[in-house]
Amino acid sequence: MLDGHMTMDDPSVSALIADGHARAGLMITCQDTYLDSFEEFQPGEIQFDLSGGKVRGSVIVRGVVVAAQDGLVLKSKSINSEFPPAARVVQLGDIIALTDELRFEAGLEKLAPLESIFRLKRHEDVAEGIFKIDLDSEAIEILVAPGLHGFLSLLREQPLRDTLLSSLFLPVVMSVLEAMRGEEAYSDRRWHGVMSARCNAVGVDIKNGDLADAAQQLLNAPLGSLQKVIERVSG
Amino acid sequence: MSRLLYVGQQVADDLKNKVSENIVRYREGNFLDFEAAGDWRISLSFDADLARLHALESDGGSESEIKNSLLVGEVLSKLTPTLARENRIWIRLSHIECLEYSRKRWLQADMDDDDLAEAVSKHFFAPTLTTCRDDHAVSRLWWNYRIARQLVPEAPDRALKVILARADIRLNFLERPGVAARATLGRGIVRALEKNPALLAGELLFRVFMKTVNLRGAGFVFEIWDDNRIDQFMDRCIKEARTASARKPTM
Repeated sequence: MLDGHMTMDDPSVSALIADGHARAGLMITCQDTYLDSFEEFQPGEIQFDLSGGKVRGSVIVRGVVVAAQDGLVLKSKSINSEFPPAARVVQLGDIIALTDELRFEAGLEKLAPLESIFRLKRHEDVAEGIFKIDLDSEAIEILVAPGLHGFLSLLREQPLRDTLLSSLFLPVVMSVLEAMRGEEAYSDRRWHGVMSARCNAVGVDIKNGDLADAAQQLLNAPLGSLQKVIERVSG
Repeated sequence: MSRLLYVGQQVADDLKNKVSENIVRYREGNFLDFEAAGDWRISLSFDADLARLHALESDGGSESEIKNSLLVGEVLSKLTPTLARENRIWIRLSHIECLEYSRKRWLQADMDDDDLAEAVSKHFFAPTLTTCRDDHAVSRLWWNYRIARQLVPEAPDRALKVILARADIRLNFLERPGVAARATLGRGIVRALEKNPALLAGELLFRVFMKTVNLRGAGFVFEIWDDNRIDQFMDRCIKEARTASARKPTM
């Protein structure tokens, strides 16, 4: 359920709506499910039901006020005086006012545990003590030599496993984000869909954001987890 | 009627990772032994008469595409758009109930193994918006129907006839969610295409028309226009497109 409160900053826009010269509402867009609709609301409390399988992935909502008649003259004091009178006349369907975008991620992908898209895999050709990443499968494969594979598999079963967040998953996630930034080649992999949804849900901008910041956000402050583990075992 | 089923995540991952290993199954076999033994039968909460899907026609012609879209749309009418983006439902259908149709429609006997594997990855899996909408053997038919019904709820077949008249028309409709998803505008385009057969006949004219609609329509909230005003807008766009396309050299 989408709910909120719609108010107008500009009294002249409020007056246009009250007089029936303009109409207010929400533009709701979800590219993944082909939803692109204008839902009319009066200023005040608003609610819109998005359940029933209407949305999935990124949803964008904007408040909008639209001219409800041709030749409507805008008299707002907020319009810069440089605009000549002719530029203040709008037609039916013209947008008079617009809010910032409200974006959110709909669906269950963002809730999938990150572990579900990583797979630790034994690989004979990787030197002991290091890891390689293979992004060509449906899950992100972390390839390690047999000795390290045995050690990491044991560690993952113990309370010390959180040390892996900063030592292994932090660089892996940074590397994955870099690959996602660079090309569309992996967009049909399952891990790509889950990572994209997680990034959208926490507001990470894959294309432009700082990779170290993004990876720390996705892993929920992994150095903090490391600190807790070390304090626990040494205390 | 039976419950609509989908495969488990591990099954989906394994199938996608092992297309080449299973190439003979795609070429001439089936996945029934996998289905019987593995996590292939996760049930959704509604029924569908999947036996009707045996009537899907695989010749790829425009008439067949319209019939197939209507059939898939009707059989899977309880699927919501959210569920219809679920890859694992479509994987189940293209590997079990619609395997024969998917193979005949999208795989050719003379393809070498690499080409066949590429075609399988494209038409038997639906992981992204574009693969689900445009490429998967069955999901693309569902999305045709869905968009047609969104445009003309009382007669989706009317919209399908227009959208599927040519491949470029379908692409222009579906690849521009800002047009196809806005029912008021999309309905206007369907009416314009029905009234102006020349738009359906010429690829260049249609392309220029859609560009004009995009350009001239930017910034309007069409949803508060009535049909008459939308039709007038379309008429202006057609006129402008005719002039512009007449000036363009044919390639």
